[in-house]
Amino acid sequence: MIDASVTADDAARAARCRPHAGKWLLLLAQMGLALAAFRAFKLHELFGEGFWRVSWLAVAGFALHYWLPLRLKEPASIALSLGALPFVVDPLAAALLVALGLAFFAIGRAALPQRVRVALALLLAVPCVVGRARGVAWLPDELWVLVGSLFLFRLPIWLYDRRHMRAPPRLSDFLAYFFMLPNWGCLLFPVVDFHTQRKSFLARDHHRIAQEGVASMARGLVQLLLYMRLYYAQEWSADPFEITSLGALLLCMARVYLLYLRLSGTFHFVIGLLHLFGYDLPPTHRSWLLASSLTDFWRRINIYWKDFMVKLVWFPAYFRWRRSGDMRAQLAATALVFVATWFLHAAQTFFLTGTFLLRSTDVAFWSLLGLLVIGNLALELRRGGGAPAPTPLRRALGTAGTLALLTVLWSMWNARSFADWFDLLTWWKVG
Amino acid sequence: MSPAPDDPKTIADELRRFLLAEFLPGEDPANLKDDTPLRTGGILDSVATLKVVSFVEQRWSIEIDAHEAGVEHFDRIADIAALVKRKRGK
Repeated sequence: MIDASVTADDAARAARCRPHAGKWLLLLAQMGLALAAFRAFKLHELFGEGFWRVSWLAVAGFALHYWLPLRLKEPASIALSLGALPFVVDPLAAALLVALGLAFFAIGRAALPQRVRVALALLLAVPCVVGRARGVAWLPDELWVLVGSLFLFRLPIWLYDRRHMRAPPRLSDFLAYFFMLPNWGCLLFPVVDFHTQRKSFLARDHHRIAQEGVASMARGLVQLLLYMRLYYAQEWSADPFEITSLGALLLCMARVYLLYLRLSGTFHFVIGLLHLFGYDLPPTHRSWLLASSLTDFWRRINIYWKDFMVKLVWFPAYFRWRRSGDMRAQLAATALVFVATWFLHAAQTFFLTGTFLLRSTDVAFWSLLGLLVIGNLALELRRGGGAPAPTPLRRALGTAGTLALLTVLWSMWNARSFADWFDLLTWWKVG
Repeated sequence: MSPAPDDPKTIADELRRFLLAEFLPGEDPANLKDDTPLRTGGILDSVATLKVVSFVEQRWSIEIDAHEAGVEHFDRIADIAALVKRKRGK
């Protein structure tokens, strides 16, 4: 059972956010440096003014939020986020987004059977899907993108957790979860878990949380700068007609894979911003380039997505099927996770771009990755927990092999079609 | 295996022994505290969590549901011990 209240342990939380002028200044100085780097390297030109605006708003907000008593801290961060919304996005879109959120909250709060709640939420989602597909002349397209960004993944999580709440959900918890300030500047937002977010609020000393947030922002900035370097790297072309040697092909494939730094960098940065307000959220990625196997890769890359899938798909499927055999249930549940991942990524693309992603290379990518992870998992389960730890050499070979395999798979995933991909691979045919 | 006593400290100590032996061999037991994050800290992945679920179910003769296997109950030894205590009390 979930106790969604953040007031359960108020005394301990109050002790963890006792102000200290010196530490506050030190944190602010570091954030100032991070913002200066953001501006100096012109990250806003590539990632948008909205990203820049929410970044400095978050830092300025932290400067004041830090000094507030515990009871005002979360209401203040919600007010900052809602207050900033019309300045970052279209005011009409902002108003409708809040109204839609309140409607979802009313559905979730109502004393109805869970099935009815889900049906009502789906009913409310229908006009959003139609609106995104056909467009509504008097509404900005931005609205549909925001609807997808806020509700597509977090609403299923919230409704799932709602089912197991002891008490009816609180509006403040709902607003703090769905209306997070950094989301306004970053529409491809990490799938934060409701329970994890609620439980993480001032779960440790605020200075330590904020300091880790600054480190996360710095990590994000470095990755975004690397991304920019790769993005503008003309010599690492992805145009099949410009690839005339094996070396150029390898560089091109490496570049395509490394462009993922945009997502990991953004996620590190925005999670760092949330840390400033006391949310002690775990990292979103853990050294994904160093994965030593495909299951290891799945556990390191976009961890929030993996946790989302584990919570809503993998565990429910496994627990339903486990009587048919432990290994079979785990493998079948994993297969289901990859089907859901493909579908939900396609749905996310629909909300972001207006087109449901149905591309042969995309289907092939998720199918192949799923099959390989299932194979890897089967091997791990067969070996059991008693297998000795791999030697450093074996681990290094595993890392190199995984990196090579993923680089090739990524180049296929990012190709518009198989024909394009084959053109890229057959570099000797050019000219 | 007979059901273990329901005292939270005993449950936590048994869990700690299991976690150390299974997932953290060679680790100093003092480093695995009751509030050490297991899932969010990267010690347990989803497959490893199922091993802990299976251990808990067998050791304390209880049944864990899908929603109870999440971060809410399986992120810290203290949370798992509280869940066991609650389910044993039913």
